[in-house]
Amino acid sequence: MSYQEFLVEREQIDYFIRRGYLIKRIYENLSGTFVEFELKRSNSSREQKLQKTLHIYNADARKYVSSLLIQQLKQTAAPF
Amino acid sequence: MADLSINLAGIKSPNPFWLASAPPTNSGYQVQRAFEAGWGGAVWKTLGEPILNVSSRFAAISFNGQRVAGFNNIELITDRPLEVNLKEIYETKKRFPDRALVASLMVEPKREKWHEIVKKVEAVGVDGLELNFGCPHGMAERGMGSASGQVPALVEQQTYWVKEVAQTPVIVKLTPNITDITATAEAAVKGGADAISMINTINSLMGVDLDTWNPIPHVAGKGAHGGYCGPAVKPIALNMVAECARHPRIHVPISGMGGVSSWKEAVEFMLMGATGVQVCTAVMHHGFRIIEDMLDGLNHYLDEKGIASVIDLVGKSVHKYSDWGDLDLNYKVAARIDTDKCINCNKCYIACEDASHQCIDRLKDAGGKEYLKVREADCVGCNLCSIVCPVDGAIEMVEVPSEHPPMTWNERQAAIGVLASCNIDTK
Ligand SMILES: Cc1cc2nc3c(=O)[nH]c(=O)nc-3n(C[C@H](O)[C@H](O)[C@H](O)COP(=O)(O)O)c2cc1C
Ligand code: SF4
Ligand code: SF4
Repeated sequence: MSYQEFLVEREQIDYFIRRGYLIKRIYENLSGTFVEFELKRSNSSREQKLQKTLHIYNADARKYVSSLLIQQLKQTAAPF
Repeated sequence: MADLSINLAGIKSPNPFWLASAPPTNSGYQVQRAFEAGWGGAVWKTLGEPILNVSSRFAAISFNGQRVAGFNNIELITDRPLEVNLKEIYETKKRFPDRALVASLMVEPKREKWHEIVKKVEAVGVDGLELNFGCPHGMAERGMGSASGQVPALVEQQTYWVKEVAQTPVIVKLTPNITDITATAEAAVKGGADAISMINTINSLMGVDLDTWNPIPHVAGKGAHGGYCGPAVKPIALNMVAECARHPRIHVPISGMGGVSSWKEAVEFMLMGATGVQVCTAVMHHGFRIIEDMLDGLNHYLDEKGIASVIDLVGKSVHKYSDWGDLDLNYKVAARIDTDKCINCNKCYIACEDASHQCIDRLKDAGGKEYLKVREADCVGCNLCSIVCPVDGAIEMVEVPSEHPPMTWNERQAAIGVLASCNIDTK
């Protein structure tokens, strides 16, 4: 069921967002949408970048992540 | 009662309903009877060098009991000498000075030919000219009609020649047998057209007789492509009118036609930018008297809406007609079945199961009675079930609130692009 697929993929997206990841890049090809997330962590000595990529199959989830991106761009004047 | 009068590029008529250039405007006898019935204007059957016609000429598609859902013809322009037509035009205008009388013209693409006919026709007192760049058959094989109308440079050039001598407003009638009608519409504007009209008929072959294997219609067993019109072409015509109306460089008034059969289509055309409409097939099917229902219906509609003048309708929906990339991807509707109205025919279930997204469930209530229910979360809101449902109101498409603000494809792509450029910047 497509709604179930959407829920699963939305949860995967939300998982990273909840942990403070930002969407760093979105690219698309015949297989769907690939979303690269990035989390910058800095401790006293150095800055660390954590990167994760999600492959989104579901059409509604692809809309969802695009809406989140627009929201992110509005909130963060300089995203990266 | 609302004011139904219109003024199309200076051509005034008491209502927006004109007869299109076609068999109903072949003679003074016909046009005068049409004016007596109440038609606001008429575009005379195209004038030019008198032609020879074939027999038979017409064919129609009847679809599931609706006769003349689409109509086709292989008729050419007038077969009567210019002087005969001009005499009748003069008499008609004299009897009905308040109606719009427009002469449709078609000659070879030569400057002197256009000058000659324009001067002769204007001398008898027409209110305007319509240049027929649209006829798709016969005349096109001789370089006229749609053969001229498909080439923007020829449209511009010939419009220009006409405007060199014309004293009355010039309407350029466009052919739909072209991928992008705004290309020829813009050429007409560049040539100096005061208005454009559309659509002429669409290239068509109506059918093949299954017994004789003759094309339909046929002339001694042979056929040639004809021009399609009538109710079936309305969506094509309406789109072309709307595309021209929203085009920034096409700023002249539009006379809309193609499948106008009642006041309702007239309102649609006007909302999408037409200043008035022309009618052919509906009159060929039902006669001049349909104008009575058209006027009544339009009057009632305007009164109900509290609109004082029909002109206030013109173009009101144009800003709502856009490109796909500007539509809101986050807007969502879902089907909802009213079990009280549903007759359990299962048409919607089959349609969704076989041709859409398999989201209508067949369930049983506590008493064992079968009913249908849409799983709204899975419904993509395609409308198919409500289109095939035979019971009015049994399926309603309801808006589902979105958790996100509107987002168009263009906005989405721009946002993805911003990310890409930010990433490049940081490298
Ligand atoms: C039999 C027939 C003859 C026509 N002849 C002409 C013509 O001489 N000149 C012209 O500009 N259009 C001609 N047309 C096209 C109509 O004026 C009109 O553009 C077209 O039929 C679309 O309108 P409708 O759907 O109301 O019929 C003709 C149409 C039909 C059906
Ligand atoms: S709108 Fe489309 S997807 Fe939704 S129930 Fe109807 S047919 Fe199925
Ligand atoms: S198509 Fe309409 S009437 Fe038929 S089962 Fe569906 S809702 Fe009921």
